[in-house]
Amino acid sequence: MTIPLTPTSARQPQQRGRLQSMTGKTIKAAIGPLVLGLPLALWQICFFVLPLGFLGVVTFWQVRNYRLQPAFVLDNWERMLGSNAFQRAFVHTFSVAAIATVLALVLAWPAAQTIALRLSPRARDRWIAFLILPIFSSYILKVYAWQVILSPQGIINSLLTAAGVSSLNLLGGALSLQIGYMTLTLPAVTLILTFALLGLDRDIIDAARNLGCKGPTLITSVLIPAIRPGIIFAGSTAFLLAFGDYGSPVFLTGSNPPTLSILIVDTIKSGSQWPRASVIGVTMLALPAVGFLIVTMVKWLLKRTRA
Amino acid sequence: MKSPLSLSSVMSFIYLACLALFIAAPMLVIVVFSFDANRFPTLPWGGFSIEWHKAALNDPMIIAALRNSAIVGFGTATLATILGFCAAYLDYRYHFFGKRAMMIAVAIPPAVPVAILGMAMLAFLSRTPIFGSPTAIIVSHTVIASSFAMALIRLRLTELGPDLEQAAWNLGASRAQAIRLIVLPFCRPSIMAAFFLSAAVSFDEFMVAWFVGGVHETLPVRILNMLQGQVNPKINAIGTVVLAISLTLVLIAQRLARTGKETR
Amino acid sequence: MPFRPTDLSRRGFLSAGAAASALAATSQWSPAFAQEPEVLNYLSWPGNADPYLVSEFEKENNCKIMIKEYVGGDQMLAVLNQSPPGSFDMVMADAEYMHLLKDADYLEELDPADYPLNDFFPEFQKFPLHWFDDKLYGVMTDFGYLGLSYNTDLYQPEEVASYDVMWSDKAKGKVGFLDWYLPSMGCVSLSAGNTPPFDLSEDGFEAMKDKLFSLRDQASGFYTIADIFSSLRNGQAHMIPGIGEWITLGLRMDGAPVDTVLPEEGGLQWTESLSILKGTKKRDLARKFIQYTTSPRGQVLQATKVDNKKSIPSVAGWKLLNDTMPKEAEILRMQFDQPNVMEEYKKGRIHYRQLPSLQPIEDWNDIWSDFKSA
Repeated sequence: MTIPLTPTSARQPQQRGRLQSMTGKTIKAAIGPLVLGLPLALWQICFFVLPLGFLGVVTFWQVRNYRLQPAFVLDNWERMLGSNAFQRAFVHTFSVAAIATVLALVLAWPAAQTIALRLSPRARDRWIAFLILPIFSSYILKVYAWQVILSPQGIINSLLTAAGVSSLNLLGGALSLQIGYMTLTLPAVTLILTFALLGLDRDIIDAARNLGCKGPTLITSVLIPAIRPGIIFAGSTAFLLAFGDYGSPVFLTGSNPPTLSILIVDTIKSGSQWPRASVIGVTMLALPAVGFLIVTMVKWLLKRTRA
Repeated sequence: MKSPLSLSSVMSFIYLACLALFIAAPMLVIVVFSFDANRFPTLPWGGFSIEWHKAALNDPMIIAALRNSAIVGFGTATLATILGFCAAYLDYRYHFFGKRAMMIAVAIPPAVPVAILGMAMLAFLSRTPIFGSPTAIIVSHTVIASSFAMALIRLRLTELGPDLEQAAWNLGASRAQAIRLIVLPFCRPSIMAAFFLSAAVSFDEFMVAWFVGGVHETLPVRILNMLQGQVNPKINAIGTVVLAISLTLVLIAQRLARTGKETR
Repeated sequence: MPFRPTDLSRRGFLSAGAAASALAATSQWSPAFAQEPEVLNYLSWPGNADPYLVSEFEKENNCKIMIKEYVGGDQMLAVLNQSPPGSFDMVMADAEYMHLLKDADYLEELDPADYPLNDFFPEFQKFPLHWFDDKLYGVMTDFGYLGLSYNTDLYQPEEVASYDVMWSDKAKGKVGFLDWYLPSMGCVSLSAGNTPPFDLSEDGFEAMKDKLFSLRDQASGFYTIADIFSSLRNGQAHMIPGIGEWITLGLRMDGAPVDTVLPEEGGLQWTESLSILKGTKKRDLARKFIQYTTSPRGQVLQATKVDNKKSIPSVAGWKLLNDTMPKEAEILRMQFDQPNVMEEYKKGRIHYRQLPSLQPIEDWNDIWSDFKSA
């Protein structure tokens, strides 16, 4: 029997399948992927690829009397990329997202290590279940709750005053912003690191321990190198979440100063400047893509030079 | 560990507890203060009251938003689960030109900042008749949720292995029959998990829904508007309801995903 | 694993489909059901579809008011421009945006005879910004003043007699702003001695800009309306320019130590009106809603709404308020025989909030964005 379009797991027959791709059976067998794939492909193209592509097109359009009109002008790009507000927001957003990334990794690591390597399987499953919950539940409400906790007459300061300590200025600065970002990123980052550590061969760790490697050395010279892809995935998740976030900077810093997402919303709200908001959006999307490209190229070059 | 009560393990358990407290604190605050009689959530506690819960559930806009959320969540969950299954099965079973691009297109939407996705969907959908309707929100949420649905179902398919289905073909089953009789029953728990998780994703999303929904507010959009519009003591009350719903959806999804593993 | 003919696919998804269509049938987007109440789509500032305001009207007319909320007229225009015609039946707009709405051909002409304009104070009966070529396009529903709101525990009234207090050391990092360029920059312009505040020469504009940027270190944040309430209440901001009693009155009645003054440099007036949008199929219902809102009863509800209180232009509304809720009338300063909100209006310290006349709006907006990120 021939299986022209073969399971992913069976690599060998797949090539054979490609060779036979002209036979009638193949055409019949291609119905499966067509029936399943065509609606999927159309959906993703219509409602994801096209809208994002359209965003790129809109950056060249113009606004007259609050109305979007097709055109081909570079004015939006020139104006946005040259504007102080955009440049400062870009630098600000990039740096707070970078700080959030490092912070999330550092704060999540000990927890992930405990969950993955110290706990019993039963307790571990409970913790994993606990960490999944906040990822999908009402981020905006949690940010609002932090506002209630941190504000000058909020919960923490009420407790401090009751204890006779003078109140602290917690809301509206770098600290409150990072608290918001951690609310957003910590559960996911901890989970990813936990899964990465769980995927490790326990024998490696035991072997390292037997060789006298423990504590910080174990982490830096065994664990971190072994799960580097997991760390990169966790880090990029944290970065992307914080980089694109709207809730925390609005509600925990009072847009002081604005991030790129705030700038997008502002640009649309004030004067319907869709093209300029799209410029910000496209730039934000391009940044991780460029980063990814650079990393891939460096890797490739390293491989070449080593070979 | 050999000595479970060593200093380092005690420290790490304390650390874990602190992290859990940090994660749980905002949710606890919402629930606790929803029962506070104060008009604005401040200490000292103003006494136990369910006045705000009553007020929230008597607010027609909140009820309308709840209904919209239910419709959007259900529609999203249904569509995203179907698309997620298609994507997962395609990835599991076939090799074809462009598969990688297609899988990336399914997997990547959650990585796009919602402000950008919302803006793009609005610019695009405002040129179609569905703009400003719950359908527009369903369409947008499906794009995001399919990614999670695919991941859950794909994971389950890995456990199925390639052989069983091939055996069915050898016994004369058509491809459609094999999917219906083997793949779907095997994936059933993860398909249902995907359904509930997609509903939770939709139930939680406010930015895209705010952009494309027009006058049709979902519950999180109502909350966003309440947070930006008027200070409103109902917010904690409605927040408690929202939290309860989304936690239930995720818990059900988790339960189902786990049953899948156990039946194996 | 045995072959289990569990047809999740068909039965499961069929019933899912049936349930989906059942749910869809109950929702607003299926117009096939005749007994569904008529829906009136309303574009407005937040809070204007509060049940307190609209539930009587909804019951009387078996209709449902669906609101799309916006903050600031620019956002209102953005929403209108992005929506197909007919998406909204009526709009509540600020007076200074009326000419933009008119120019963009969004507004239906109204028949003055339909509305109780003769009930209004004389100065509001033919409010200039609502009439074009002697034709009526919007009916005034409420108004209010914007000045400097402040924390009364920390500042004495004489300290805040001038906008200069915003630059004091005491206010460093504690000056909040409503995140909308128009009232915020309007007050800064007033403090620079510009009257009227929105008609600035190039030099005046530059000077106002410098004055604005010198406030940057004093800023605590740029707030949405709800955050204006909470930051004044929780002490995050000690003073906020460009807002007024529509915020502080509700807070004060709730026990927060806040008040609003009109500093010696002057204050701004905002005016809201209701208009019917072209393309609506529910013209009659929209007209009824405007009639309801400008009736004495509707006006009293506008004035006494929880959280944000407004002044009303209808003398008949004032009468009803004084007859039925004398206490509220006193607090709202809408008594005929006492110093009231109309007198401030007559003193001439109040300027209309208007759009910048000599620079493009875009330039003012850009400076505001620049200021926020500086």
